[in-house]
Amino acid sequence: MLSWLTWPVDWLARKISEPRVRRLQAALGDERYIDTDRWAKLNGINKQQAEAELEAAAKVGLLARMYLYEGSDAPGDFLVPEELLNTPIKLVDAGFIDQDEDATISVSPLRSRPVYVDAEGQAETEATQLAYAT
Amino acid sequence: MPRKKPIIPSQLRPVSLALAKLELTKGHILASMPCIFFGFLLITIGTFKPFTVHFHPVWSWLITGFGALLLVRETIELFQLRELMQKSHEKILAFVFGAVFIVVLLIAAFAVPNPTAFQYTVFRIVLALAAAGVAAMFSGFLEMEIPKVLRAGGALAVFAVVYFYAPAALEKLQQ
Repeated sequence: MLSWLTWPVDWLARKISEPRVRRLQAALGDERYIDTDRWAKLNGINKQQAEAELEAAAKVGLLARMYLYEGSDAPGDFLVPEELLNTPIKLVDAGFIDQDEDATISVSPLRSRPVYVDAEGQAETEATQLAYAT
Repeated sequence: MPRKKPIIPSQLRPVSLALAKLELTKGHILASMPCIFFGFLLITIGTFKPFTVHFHPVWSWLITGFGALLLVRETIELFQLRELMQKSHEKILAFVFGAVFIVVLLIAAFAVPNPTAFQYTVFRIVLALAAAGVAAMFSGFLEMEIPKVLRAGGALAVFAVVYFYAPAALEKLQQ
Protein backbone atom coordinates (compact mmCIF):
# COMPACT_ATOMS: atom_id res chain seq x y z
CA MET A 1 0.00 0.00 0.00
CA LEU A 2 2.87 2.31 0.81
CA SER A 3 4.89 1.39 -2.27
CA TRP A 4 4.28 4.84 -3.81
CA LEU A 5 5.98 6.23 -0.73
CA THR A 6 8.86 3.75 -0.68
CA TRP A 7 9.93 3.82 -4.32
CA PRO A 8 11.82 7.12 -4.08
CA VAL A 9 13.75 5.74 -1.09
CA ASP A 10 14.42 2.44 -2.89
CA TRP A 11 15.51 4.32 -6.00
CA LEU A 12 17.83 6.54 -3.97
CA ALA A 13 19.23 3.52 -2.10
CA ARG A 14 19.94 1.75 -5.42
CA LYS A 15 21.60 4.88 -6.80
CA ILE A 16 23.79 5.19 -3.69
CA SER A 17 24.83 1.54 -3.55
CA GLU A 18 25.10 0.73 -7.28
CA PRO A 19 28.72 1.88 -7.83
CA ARG A 20 29.88 0.06 -4.69
CA VAL A 21 28.06 -3.13 -5.65
CA ARG A 22 29.62 -3.04 -9.11
CA ARG A 23 33.07 -2.49 -7.63
CA LEU A 24 32.56 -5.33 -5.16
CA GLN A 25 31.39 -7.75 -7.83
CA ALA A 26 34.37 -6.86 -10.00
CA ALA A 27 36.78 -7.37 -7.10
CA LEU A 28 35.29 -10.57 -5.72
CA GLY A 29 34.09 -12.25 -8.89
CA ASP A 30 33.03 -15.81 -8.12
CA GLU A 31 34.58 -16.06 -4.67
CA ARG A 32 32.44 -18.04 -2.25
CA TYR A 33 33.67 -16.57 1.03
CA ILE A 34 35.28 -13.45 2.40
CA ASP A 35 37.40 -12.81 5.48
CA THR A 36 37.79 -9.67 7.57
CA ASP A 37 41.18 -8.77 6.06
CA ARG A 38 39.76 -8.76 2.54
CA TRP A 39 36.67 -6.80 3.56
CA ALA A 40 38.82 -4.27 5.39
CA LYS A 41 41.04 -3.83 2.34
CA LEU A 42 38.08 -3.51 -0.04
CA ASN A 43 36.46 -0.82 2.11
CA GLY A 44 39.54 1.00 3.33
CA ILE A 45 38.65 0.38 6.98
CA ASN A 46 40.51 -1.29 9.83
CA LYS A 47 40.13 -4.94 10.81
CA GLN A 48 37.94 -4.26 13.86
CA GLN A 49 35.51 -2.19 11.81
CA ALA A 50 35.44 -4.84 9.09
CA GLU A 51 34.73 -7.56 11.63
CA ALA A 52 31.97 -5.51 13.24
CA GLU A 53 30.37 -4.91 9.84
CA LEU A 54 30.50 -8.55 8.79
CA GLU A 55 29.23 -9.71 12.18
CA ALA A 56 26.31 -7.27 11.90
CA ALA A 57 25.51 -8.68 8.46
CA ALA A 58 25.64 -12.18 9.95
CA LYS A 59 23.34 -11.08 12.75
CA VAL A 60 20.68 -9.86 10.32
CA GLY A 61 20.95 -13.09 8.31
CA LEU A 62 22.70 -11.87 5.15
CA LEU A 63 25.96 -13.67 5.85
CA ALA A 64 26.89 -16.74 7.88
CA ARG A 65 30.14 -17.21 9.75
CA MET A 66 31.92 -20.50 9.05
CA TYR A 67 35.43 -21.84 9.57
CA LEU A 68 37.57 -22.59 6.53
CA TYR A 69 39.74 -25.68 6.80
CA GLU A 70 42.74 -25.60 4.47
CA GLY A 71 44.74 -28.55 5.89
CA SER A 72 46.72 -30.80 3.56
CA ASP A 73 45.12 -33.95 5.00
CA ALA A 74 41.82 -33.16 3.28
CA PRO A 75 41.32 -33.54 -0.47
CA GLY A 76 40.37 -29.86 -0.65
CA ASP A 77 39.28 -26.86 1.41
CA PHE A 78 35.96 -27.03 3.16
CA LEU A 79 33.88 -24.97 5.54
CA VAL A 80 32.43 -25.99 8.88
CA PRO A 81 29.96 -24.19 11.14
CA GLU A 82 31.16 -23.16 14.60
CA GLU A 83 29.12 -25.91 16.29
CA LEU A 84 31.10 -28.59 14.50
CA LEU A 85 34.56 -27.37 15.50
CA ASN A 86 36.58 -30.01 17.38
CA THR A 87 34.22 -32.80 16.32
CA PRO A 88 35.12 -35.50 13.78
CA ILE A 89 33.68 -34.60 10.38
CA LYS A 90 33.16 -37.19 7.67
CA LEU A 91 34.70 -36.00 4.41
CA VAL A 92 31.72 -37.46 2.58
CA ASP A 93 29.41 -35.18 4.59
CA ALA A 94 31.47 -32.16 3.58
CA GLY A 95 30.83 -32.96 -0.10
CA PHE A 96 33.89 -35.04 -1.05
CA ILE A 97 31.79 -37.85 -2.43
CA ASP A 98 34.69 -39.88 -3.86
CA GLN A 99 36.31 -40.33 -0.43
CA ASP A 100 36.28 -43.31 1.89
CA GLU A 101 33.03 -43.20 3.82
CA ASP A 102 34.77 -43.53 7.19
CA ALA A 103 37.48 -40.92 6.57
CA THR A 104 37.09 -38.16 9.13
CA ILE A 105 38.89 -34.93 10.02
CA SER A 106 38.65 -32.96 13.24
CA VAL A 107 38.69 -29.23 12.59
CA SER A 108 40.03 -27.13 15.43
CA PRO A 109 39.94 -23.31 15.60
CA LEU A 110 43.75 -23.37 15.41
CA ARG A 111 43.75 -25.20 12.10
CA SER A 112 41.02 -23.13 10.50
CA ARG A 113 40.09 -19.47 10.07
CA PRO A 114 36.76 -17.70 10.27
CA VAL A 115 35.23 -16.57 6.99
CA TYR A 116 31.81 -15.28 5.96
CA VAL A 117 29.60 -16.89 3.33
CA ASP A 118 26.23 -16.16 1.77
CA ALA A 119 23.66 -17.27 4.33
CA GLU A 120 21.07 -18.25 1.76
CA GLY A 121 20.83 -20.86 -0.95
CA GLN A 122 23.40 -23.02 -2.64
CA ALA A 123 24.99 -22.86 -6.06
CA GLU A 124 23.25 -25.14 -8.50
CA THR A 125 26.40 -26.83 -9.70
CA GLU A 126 26.86 -30.35 -10.90
CA ALA A 127 28.68 -31.18 -7.67
CA THR A 128 25.74 -29.97 -5.61
CA GLN A 129 23.27 -31.99 -7.60
CA LEU A 130 25.51 -35.04 -7.26
CA ALA A 131 25.89 -34.43 -3.54
CA TYR A 132 22.11 -34.22 -3.20
CA ALA A 133 21.70 -37.42 -5.21
CA THR A 134 24.04 -39.34 -2.92
CA MET B 1 19.20 -19.32 8.63
CA PRO B 2 22.54 -20.51 10.09
CA ARG B 3 24.39 -23.19 8.17
CA LYS B 4 24.59 -26.42 10.15
CA LYS B 5 26.58 -28.73 7.88
CA PRO B 6 30.14 -28.81 6.58
CA ILE B 7 30.31 -27.81 2.96
CA ILE B 8 32.85 -27.35 0.17
CA PRO B 9 33.11 -23.71 -1.03
CA SER B 10 32.12 -24.48 -4.63
CA GLN B 11 28.67 -25.56 -3.42
CA LEU B 12 27.95 -22.10 -2.09
CA ARG B 13 26.61 -19.09 -3.94
CA PRO B 14 29.15 -16.34 -4.66
CA VAL B 15 29.47 -14.21 -1.54
CA SER B 16 29.22 -11.05 -3.66
CA LEU B 17 25.44 -11.65 -3.91
CA ALA B 18 25.02 -11.34 -0.15
CA LEU B 19 27.45 -8.45 0.00
CA ALA B 20 25.47 -6.66 -2.72
CA LYS B 21 22.39 -6.99 -0.49
CA LEU B 22 24.43 -5.64 2.40
CA GLU B 23 25.49 -2.62 0.32
CA LEU B 24 21.89 -2.04 -0.78
CA THR B 25 20.78 -2.10 2.85
CA LYS B 26 23.51 0.37 3.77
CA GLY B 27 22.34 2.52 0.85
CA HIS B 28 18.83 2.31 2.28
CA ILE B 29 20.05 3.61 5.64
CA LEU B 30 21.66 6.59 3.93
CA ALA B 31 18.62 7.19 1.71
CA SER B 32 16.30 7.19 4.72
CA MET B 33 18.02 10.18 6.28
CA PRO B 34 17.11 12.83 3.69
CA CYS B 35 13.59 11.37 3.68
CA ILE B 36 13.32 11.87 7.44
CA PHE B 37 14.55 15.43 6.96
CA PHE B 38 12.07 15.97 4.13
CA GLY B 39 9.25 14.52 6.28
CA PHE B 40 10.09 16.95 9.09
CA LEU B 41 10.24 19.81 6.64
CA LEU B 42 6.79 18.96 5.24
CA ILE B 43 5.30 18.75 8.73
CA THR B 44 6.82 22.13 9.59
CA ILE B 45 5.52 23.70 6.37
CA GLY B 46 2.10 22.10 6.77
CA THR B 47 1.68 23.38 10.32
CA PHE B 48 3.27 26.82 9.85
CA LYS B 49 0.26 29.10 10.16
CA PRO B 50 1.71 32.28 8.52
CA PHE B 51 2.31 30.16 5.42
CA THR B 52 -0.77 27.94 5.38
CA VAL B 53 -3.29 30.81 5.74
CA HIS B 54 -2.74 31.55 2.06
CA PHE B 55 -3.98 28.09 1.00
CA HIS B 56 -7.06 25.94 1.42
CA PRO B 57 -6.87 23.99 4.77
CA VAL B 58 -6.91 20.69 2.84
CA TRP B 59 -3.43 21.45 1.55
CA SER B 60 -2.16 21.94 5.07
CA TRP B 61 -3.58 18.53 6.09
CA LEU B 62 -2.21 16.85 2.97
CA ILE B 63 1.30 18.24 3.37
CA THR B 64 1.41 17.48 7.11
CA GLY B 65 -0.03 13.99 6.59
CA PHE B 66 2.42 13.13 3.82
CA GLY B 67 5.31 14.42 5.92
CA ALA B 68 4.20 12.45 8.98
CA LEU B 69 3.77 9.27 6.91
CA LEU B 70 7.23 9.67 5.40
CA LEU B 71 8.82 10.42 8.75
CA VAL B 72 7.18 7.53 10.62
CA ARG B 73 7.82 5.01 7.87
CA GLU B 74 11.48 5.87 7.45
CA THR B 75 12.07 6.00 11.20
CA ILE B 76 10.60 2.49 11.56
CA GLU B 77 12.71 1.33 8.61
CA LEU B 78 15.86 2.77 10.22
CA PHE B 79 14.97 1.14 13.53
CA GLN B 80 14.73 -2.23 11.79
CA LEU B 81 18.11 -1.73 10.13
CA ARG B 82 19.84 -0.41 13.24
CA GLU B 83 22.03 -3.55 13.47
CA LEU B 84 23.75 -2.49 10.26
CA MET B 85 24.18 1.15 11.18
CA GLN B 86 27.79 2.21 11.44
CA LYS B 87 29.15 4.94 13.67
CA SER B 88 29.25 7.29 10.67
CA HIS B 89 25.55 6.60 9.92
CA GLU B 90 24.64 7.31 13.53
CA LYS B 91 26.51 10.60 13.39
CA ILE B 92 24.79 11.64 10.16
CA LEU B 93 21.40 10.73 11.66
CA ALA B 94 22.13 12.76 14.81
CA PHE B 95 23.17 15.67 12.59
CA VAL B 96 19.97 15.42 10.52
CA PHE B 97 17.78 15.40 13.64
CA GLY B 98 19.82 18.24 15.14
CA ALA B 99 19.55 20.35 11.99
CA VAL B 100 15.81 19.69 11.76
CA PHE B 101 15.17 20.75 15.35
CA ILE B 102 17.27 23.88 14.96
CA VAL B 103 15.19 24.83 11.90
CA VAL B 104 12.01 24.11 13.88
CA LEU B 105 13.23 26.27 16.76
CA LEU B 106 14.15 29.12 14.41
CA ILE B 107 10.61 29.01 13.06
CA ALA B 108 9.26 28.78 16.62
CA ALA B 109 11.29 31.84 17.61
CA PHE B 110 9.37 33.89 15.06
CA ALA B 111 6.04 32.17 15.58
CA VAL B 112 6.19 32.44 19.42
CA PRO B 113 7.96 35.74 20.17
CA ASN B 114 6.82 35.82 23.82
CA PRO B 115 7.11 32.29 25.20
CA THR B 116 5.83 31.35 28.62
CA ALA B 117 8.27 30.00 31.23
CA PHE B 118 7.28 26.47 30.31
CA GLN B 119 7.69 27.09 26.57
CA TYR B 120 11.08 28.69 27.19
CA THR B 121 12.27 25.63 29.16
CA VAL B 122 11.08 23.27 26.42
CA PHE B 123 12.79 25.38 23.73
CA ARG B 124 16.01 25.34 25.72
CA ILE B 125 15.98 21.57 26.18
CA VAL B 126 15.19 20.96 22.52
CA LEU B 127 17.84 23.46 21.42
CA ALA B 128 20.44 21.76 23.65
CA LEU B 129 19.55 18.36 22.19
CA ALA B 130 19.64 19.72 18.63
CA ALA B 131 23.00 21.37 19.18
CA ALA B 132 24.35 18.11 20.61
CA GLY B 133 23.07 16.27 17.53
CA VAL B 134 24.82 18.71 15.20
CA ALA B 135 27.98 18.51 17.34
CA ALA B 136 27.97 14.71 17.04
CA MET B 137 29.35 15.22 13.52
CA PHE B 138 32.39 16.89 15.04
CA SER B 139 32.84 14.79 18.17
CA GLY B 140 36.03 15.40 20.10
CA PHE B 141 36.30 19.05 19.15
CA LEU B 142 35.07 20.22 22.52
CA GLU B 143 35.53 18.99 26.07
CA MET B 144 34.08 20.51 29.19
CA GLU B 145 34.79 19.95 32.85
CA ILE B 146 33.30 21.39 36.00
CA PRO B 147 35.50 19.84 38.72
CA LYS B 148 33.69 17.24 40.83
CA VAL B 149 30.39 18.09 39.11
CA LEU B 150 30.46 17.35 35.42
CA ARG B 151 32.80 15.99 32.79
CA ALA B 152 31.51 15.87 29.23
CA GLY B 153 33.07 15.31 25.83
CA GLY B 154 31.93 16.04 22.29
CA ALA B 155 28.17 16.15 21.82
CA LEU B 156 27.45 15.84 25.53
CA ALA B 157 29.64 18.88 26.21
CA VAL B 158 27.69 20.91 23.68
CA PHE B 159 24.44 19.83 25.33
CA ALA B 160 25.79 20.88 28.74
CA VAL B 161 27.03 24.25 27.47
CA VAL B 162 23.79 25.11 25.68
CA TYR B 163 21.58 23.89 28.51
CA PHE B 164 23.43 25.25 31.54
CA TYR B 165 24.89 28.44 30.10
CA ALA B 166 21.80 29.83 28.38
CA PRO B 167 23.11 33.04 26.85
CA ALA B 168 19.81 34.75 26.23
CA ALA B 169 17.65 34.02 29.24
CA LEU B 170 14.62 36.27 29.14
CA GLU B 171 14.70 39.11 31.61
CA LYS B 172 11.11 38.54 32.53
CA LEU B 173 11.81 34.90 33.33
CA GLN B 174 14.87 35.78 35.41
CA GLN B 175 12.75 38.06 37.54
